[in-house]
Amino acid sequence: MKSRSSASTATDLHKQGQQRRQTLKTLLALGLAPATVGLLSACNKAPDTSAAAQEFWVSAQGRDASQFGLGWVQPEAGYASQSAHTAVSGFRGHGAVQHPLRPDAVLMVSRQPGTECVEVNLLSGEVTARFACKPGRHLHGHACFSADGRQLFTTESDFVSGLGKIVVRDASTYQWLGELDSHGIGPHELKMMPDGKTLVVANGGLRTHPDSGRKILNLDTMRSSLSYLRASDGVLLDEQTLTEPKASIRHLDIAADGTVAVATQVQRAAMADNHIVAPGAVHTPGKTLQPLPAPVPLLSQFNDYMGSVAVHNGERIAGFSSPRGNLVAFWHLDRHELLGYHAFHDVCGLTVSHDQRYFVLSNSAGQLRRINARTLQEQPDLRLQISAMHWDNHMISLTLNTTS
Amino acid sequence: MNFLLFRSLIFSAAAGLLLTACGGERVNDPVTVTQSSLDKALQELTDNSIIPAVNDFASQSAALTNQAEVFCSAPDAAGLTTLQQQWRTLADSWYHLLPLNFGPADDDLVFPPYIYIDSLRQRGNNYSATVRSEINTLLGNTTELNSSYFDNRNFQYVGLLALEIAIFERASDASKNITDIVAEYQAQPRKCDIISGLSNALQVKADYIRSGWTLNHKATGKPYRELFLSNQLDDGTPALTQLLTSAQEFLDYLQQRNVATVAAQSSGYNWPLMATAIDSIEEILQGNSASTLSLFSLMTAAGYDAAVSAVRSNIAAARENISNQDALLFKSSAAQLDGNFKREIPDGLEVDLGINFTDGD
Repeated sequence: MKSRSSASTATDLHKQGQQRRQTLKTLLALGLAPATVGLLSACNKAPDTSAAAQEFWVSAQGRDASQFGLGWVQPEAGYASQSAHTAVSGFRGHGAVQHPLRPDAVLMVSRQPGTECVEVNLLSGEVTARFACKPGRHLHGHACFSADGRQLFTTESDFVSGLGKIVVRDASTYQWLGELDSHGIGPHELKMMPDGKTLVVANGGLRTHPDSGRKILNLDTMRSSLSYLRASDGVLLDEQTLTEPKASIRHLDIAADGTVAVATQVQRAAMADNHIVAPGAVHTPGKTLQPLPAPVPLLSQFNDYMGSVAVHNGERIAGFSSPRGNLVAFWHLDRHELLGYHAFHDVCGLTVSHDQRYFVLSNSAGQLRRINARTLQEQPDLRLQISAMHWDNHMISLTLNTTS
Repeated sequence: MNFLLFRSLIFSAAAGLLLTACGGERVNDPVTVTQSSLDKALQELTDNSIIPAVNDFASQSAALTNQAEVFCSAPDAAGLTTLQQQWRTLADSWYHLLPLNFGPADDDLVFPPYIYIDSLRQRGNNYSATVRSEINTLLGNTTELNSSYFDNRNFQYVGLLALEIAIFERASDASKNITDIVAEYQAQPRKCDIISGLSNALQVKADYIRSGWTLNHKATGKPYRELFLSNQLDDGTPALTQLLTSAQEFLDYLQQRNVATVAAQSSGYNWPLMATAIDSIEEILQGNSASTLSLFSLMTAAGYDAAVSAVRSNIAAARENISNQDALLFKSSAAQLDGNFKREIPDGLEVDLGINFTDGD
């Protein structure tokens, strides 16, 4: 139910966090012994933060314009609910990415057809930078950094031509440096391949225009592709397509060996018949893009929609989430074998925990669940509910030294 | 302060004052939107509509099994007519339940029980040709037609469609003439084995759904009714969200697939079934004669009169399109109602269907 809980709002929680940090700073400034700080922390049921690295789960969140922002929680902090914060952005975000050279900073990209990005410092809770795309362009919700962390790539579209662009910016100033052709329409998620030189781009194939909101303008002619571009000059190195032309490739994740898992959203309204389409696929280097099989009744449960994908390198497993199916499912990256599934209401956010032990799932009710990456069984004792949070499509996991 | 939170607090405060002043809720008390009133509406809907529908489907399934046995003891035209009427009654009962297709009917992600009842529902595929071929094959071979055979058949071969074709058609040429069909039953006793096996298999599914709702859901030791009303569903879906999503998905199915022109073609009972489904949608929102509180009344109390009117108007349009047997416009009105269940109704009840579900990217 909306807003019936008496839980603190994200803003309240943020203020509590700021007060706690300010008190700690004051005590330290007064030269009080760490033991004193420890006592204060204990009163707040906070953990011993002398342990250097703290895990953060970070996601766009919010239900309305007053709440939209980048939210995060420290799941292992022992005070997860109190650790939850939101940096209000003023727009609905979609994907988030950690800055490789300034790990405290996370960039959140507005969902299409938005035009803004914000950079948030997770330790201060502040928005530290903000930029917009050029006139006549809109974002598609995702970004990635170059291997050296000095450039930022965002997926964008040219309103007029409808062509997909990969815009290159200076990652310290976010100044526009140039742009590459995405070699498709409606580029959505992109990532840097393990070689550090190649961008892989999910060209969804769907054309939209801000004047008509999110309405798809080219259902009949849509063409989706998975494109590999040379990041330095945008040369198309490889292109993969699915046999189903109405499957829009939207999201992707990459294993350490360059195997790419992709999640699609099938445009059922444009299809001529009722056949079921596998909404997940894997591209192994040197082979063609392969749909991931499953029993038809299970495939139909996804309702033609997968919202996020995450690869677990150690287990060689790709997890896919389907908020329209209330379902997460897991396939082996090499054998393409269905390994398991888990039902979870409105699940979309999906990442791998820092210790690699779990797939982490989030939903719009603020719930977080962990699936053991080895057994693919959920651990109900580790469930978290952050009532003030409404996790949006994508979640990332990262660690920060909170004592620095 | 968040507007919805503010509104909820006002509603809650108003309800608290009313309860304090009146000493509890009575039938004639003004309706207010509180968690308590939503819970009560859901409980009434469950006990006055859902459980009776589940029970009715199981009862009608058993009645079909009995009627098939009676008919097969001495096949004649009168018996077949009665059997055909019982199939229509059973199909009506199913279409009453179909917008409420969650819980025990849909408790397995790979092999949900409902597909063994209604093969069309999964993705709108018409398996009539498959069923006709199966019946002809079985009439021509010596396969033992026992319960094990039917319990293990794939969903395409069993359920309401298979029974319909067996009861309303002569297998050899799909003739729908009563005399032709009766003559085939008289000449080929194996056709009675087929309807007996099919009706028993269907009854097993119907009893499973009833048992799940009222006795023990998936070995939890608790009836699904209890889990549902106490918001303890496995996947964390709140009960009211589950209900509205189920109805919405059914309406999406009506608009995406050609249900009105594919379902119940042998019996010619497709349009009455569409009417039953729309009646069921209305009952979800309006309750029935046993209701003291309905979702519509709560929406109205929350100031969403216009939304209620819009939904009523779309229900009326659906009925008119059914009356005119206009499949295209019926799909259009189903799409309108689908939108109502995604937006106006959840908004009016302050129910969150999930931002990722409703507005993903």
